Amino acid sequence: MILAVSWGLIPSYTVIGLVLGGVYAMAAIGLVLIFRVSGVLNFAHGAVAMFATFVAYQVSILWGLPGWIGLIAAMLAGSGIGLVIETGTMRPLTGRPPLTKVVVTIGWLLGLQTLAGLVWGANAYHRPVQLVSRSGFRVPLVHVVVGYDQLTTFVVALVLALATAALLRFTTLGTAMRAVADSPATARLWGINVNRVTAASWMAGSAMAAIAGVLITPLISFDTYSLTLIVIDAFTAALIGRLSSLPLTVLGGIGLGLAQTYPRAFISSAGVSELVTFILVLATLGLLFRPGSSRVRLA
Amino acid sequence: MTGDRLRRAVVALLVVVAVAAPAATSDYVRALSADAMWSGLLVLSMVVLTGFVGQISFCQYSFAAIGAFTVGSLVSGHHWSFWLAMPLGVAFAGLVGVLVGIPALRLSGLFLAILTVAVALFFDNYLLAPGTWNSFSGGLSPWQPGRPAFLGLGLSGEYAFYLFSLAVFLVCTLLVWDLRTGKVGRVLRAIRGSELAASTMGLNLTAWKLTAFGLSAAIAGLAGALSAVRIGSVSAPSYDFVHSISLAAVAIVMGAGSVGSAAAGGVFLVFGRYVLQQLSISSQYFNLIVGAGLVLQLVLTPQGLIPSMTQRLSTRFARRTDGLAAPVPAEGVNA
Amino acid sequence: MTSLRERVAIVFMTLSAVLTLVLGGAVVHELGTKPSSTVVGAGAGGGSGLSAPGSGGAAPGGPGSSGAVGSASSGSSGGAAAASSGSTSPGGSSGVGTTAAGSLSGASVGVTNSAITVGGIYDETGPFDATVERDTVRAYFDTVNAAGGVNGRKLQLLDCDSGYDPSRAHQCSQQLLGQNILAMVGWLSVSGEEAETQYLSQQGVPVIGGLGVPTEFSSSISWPVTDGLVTYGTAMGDHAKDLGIHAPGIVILNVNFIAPVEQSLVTSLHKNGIKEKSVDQVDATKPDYTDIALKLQSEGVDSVIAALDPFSYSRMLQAFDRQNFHPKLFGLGLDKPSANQQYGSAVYNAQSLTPLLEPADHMSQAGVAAYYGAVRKYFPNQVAALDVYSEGDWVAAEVFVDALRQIGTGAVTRQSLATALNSLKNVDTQGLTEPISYSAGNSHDPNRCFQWIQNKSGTWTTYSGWNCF
Repeated sequence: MILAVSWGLIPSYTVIGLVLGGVYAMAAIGLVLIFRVSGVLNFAHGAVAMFATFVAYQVSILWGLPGWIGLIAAMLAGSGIGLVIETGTMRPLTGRPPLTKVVVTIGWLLGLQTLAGLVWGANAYHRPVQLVSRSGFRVPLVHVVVGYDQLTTFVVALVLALATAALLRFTTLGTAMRAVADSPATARLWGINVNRVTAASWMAGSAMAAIAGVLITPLISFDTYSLTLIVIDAFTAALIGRLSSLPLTVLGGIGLGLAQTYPRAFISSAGVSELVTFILVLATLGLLFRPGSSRVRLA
Repeated sequence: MTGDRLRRAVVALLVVVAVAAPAATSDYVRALSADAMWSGLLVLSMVVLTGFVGQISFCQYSFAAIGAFTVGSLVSGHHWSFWLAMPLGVAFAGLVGVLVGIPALRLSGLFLAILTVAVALFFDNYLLAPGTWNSFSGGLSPWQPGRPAFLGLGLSGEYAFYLFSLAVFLVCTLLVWDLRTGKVGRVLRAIRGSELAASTMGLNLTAWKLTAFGLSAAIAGLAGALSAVRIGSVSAPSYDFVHSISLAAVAIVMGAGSVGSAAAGGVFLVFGRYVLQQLSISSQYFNLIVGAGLVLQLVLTPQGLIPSMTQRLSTRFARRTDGLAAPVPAEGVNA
Repeated sequence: MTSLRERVAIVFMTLSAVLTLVLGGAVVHELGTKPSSTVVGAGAGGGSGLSAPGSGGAAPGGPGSSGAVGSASSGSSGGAAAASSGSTSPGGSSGVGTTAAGSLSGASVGVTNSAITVGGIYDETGPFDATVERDTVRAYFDTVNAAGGVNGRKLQLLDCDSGYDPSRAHQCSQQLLGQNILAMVGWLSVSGEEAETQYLSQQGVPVIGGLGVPTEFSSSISWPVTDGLVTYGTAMGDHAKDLGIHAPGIVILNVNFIAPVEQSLVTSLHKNGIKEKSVDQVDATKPDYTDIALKLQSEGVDSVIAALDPFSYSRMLQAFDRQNFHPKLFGLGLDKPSANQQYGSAVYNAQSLTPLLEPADHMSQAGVAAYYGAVRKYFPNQVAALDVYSEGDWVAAEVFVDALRQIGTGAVTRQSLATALNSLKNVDTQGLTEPISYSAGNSHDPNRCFQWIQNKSGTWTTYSGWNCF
């Protein structure tokens, strides 16, 4: 079961891990934004990404329009779904325990996943929208070739994280979001329209999910469940980022990607990356969420 | 007739119907009825967790898988008797439940939910994946355990097996109900009401919470063991994360605080799909209905369908809000 | 202050804990020993010594024997009807002993005055999409029904989705049997065919067509129409020599019947003086093949011999393409048009083989025209998805109807269907295969022939006649 691996493959696996980490980081950013502002851990984040990607698929592959139009359609679909989730099913539950709202997102997960399967087929036989060319360049010193699509995912993840951080710090909307994140009641006293700000966070977060979905699917399997279930890896990355710090979330995602990839260089058993993920989830939950720590307050 | 006596009469009538009705149907419907019984046990396991300690779990099918694969590997692979393998499966599931409960002690409801999701995915992608532990998971091939005999009577017939499953289900429901209305139930409700207050009264929160987790997982393990011999084929995808989500959704919609929703939930899970199939509608619609139903129910009727219904019925008669279908507010979810 | 009930509970729990630990130890020890039951589908020894563990899975572990149907034994299985494990004999015959078939019903199951109902299990959701196979059978039935049916009876196919889950496939069998099907015709369930063929045979249900898994060639009431996958292995090993392959890497799907197929491929390669560099079993859901590409590159393989599903090929070729790794590719099932759209230029010059006439360069041939015409007429959006498996199921539907016509005006029962099938000689499948014949016996293996095909700049062309093994 232990491969006699040539250590020369380690740099190649590092690159693979970084690419995977970029995927997780991108999936996690929107999640963290939604959580910070509205206090809801959106289990349906991956499902929204998946559904928006299928919209892009419908527009670009089935209807033959250019890829960037598909991307825009996906972003519109994503933010639209986010808006519906927030106004239709989160706002009526104001004042209820956070767990109730999370369960509602679980309902959305089920619904979106099944709906996508009914409309487009619940199998893996879909051609993904390839926004960026798959060809790549050979990374110097290692044997692995990095595709431009993989590189784009990584870079866009960083850009989105920076953009979101900038939004939160430097814009009025961002300041309002931070105010609502700290205390909705106080924010209301300051004249901030809490409802609108919360809806905006959901729309922005879901639009980012859409971008993530369209960029990620060429790298994984394009079906109704892979992207939906990526949410747990995104959670882990977000947990490492303490559910509030975007830079840490990105680092967490990258760290998770590397941690999942390295063992595969040594141990050929398929599930070993899953074991690593599980251990990391336990560790982050255990270490970062001690009773009495301020994080527990949020739930 | 007081509300309590009416309730008992209704329950008795339902039990009679449950025993007699499948006698008049085909073997396939009897098999489905048996499926409804172990599905009901799964919902019951959620009721224990949600109703007693107000927590939601998204890995009940993983506990069921422990029971199912224990039975599958021992009965089918090593020729053990079902009557030895089944209690072992239940015990293992309970043990794992307690293990999962340990980190849960420090986590609030939300993060416990994440933990259970992680556990479910861990089972799906690692523990039960081919290559990791093939002597337990069967690798790529399904286990195919045969039906046991109960006190000399073979359970290979669908009706006989259904009656057996029904008996198991009723016994467990009675057990849980007894716990609910007895001292244990009061203790756990106190814990759920206010942990701080409960602990100042000298209650050992840790022990009670772990017991609740263990019991919930054990019941799920029992359901898994039954499913293994009902279906006769055990493979990992039948116990995956999506099944757990669907189960949680149905349990909450029915009212995860109420013991009566176990039967309703089990019947719905199995015969809902059957009805769709009869109407030539793709069974994929079932999860969509469940997801939509969950969202609508939480927004519109927080307590769950069964408690709301029985509450409405019992306001017509004398009221005694303790017992089988009484809604005990599950603070974690439905408050 | 503990009450009596609590004391009882505590004693009970302590006893259970102790018992659990003791028995738990016994269980763990037991699981460590090899299971003593027979093996479903995998040849004796499983060929596990030959496969180097690749990413995605080790050799299949110990599956269970089928529960004896109807026996009242207490829990232990292994009744009279269990499959006996046979050794893989050289020469490519399937490595599993025969399944004892249950008795065939003489009653009219699934037959009314106006309709004949058959069933099919398909992996419709999950990693595969076998709806095209289902719709192909339906297209054939629709064609026959449009001409009046068979002796005035319309043909109906009930389908059930096994979703790449063997346990769901078993539930599908139970469901379809509950819906009173006459026989299983033209099914395609990668997860379920291996185990369910045995179960259906024990239940006395005829099975016609399918993927070609080993158990379909070891039952007296299973009538496959194409080559067994084990025969594929032999043929590919043989043809590899002609293709100038010297040091191949083998990449195959880790399905529950792969062991005898792998064994026959490797044996055949060795017989032809070719030593493979490695064998990798991969999961159908494996999203990224970069590690396989890197591994094969570092091993210095000159070619890849593959047995994957159409869209796993897509992901594999993507990874190869990105790593600029272009070994010779020889794979089965590479010619699915809808998948080829994704392969792009990575599949140019690839080699494959087909047990049925390749439609791509025989579009005007009578059989192909009928096949494509029917699907285009009744299920136009499935035309791009037609592949060698759907073609096989088309032939299976043909064979089924031929047998029905053979029965003529007599009573249509499972028994008469089986007799009619066994009496079929030199069935002309409109040129899609060599003529098919069956006879009564323990198993049927009518078609052991392939044609070699090659991808020339995006078009699949046939370059040989029938080569039989």
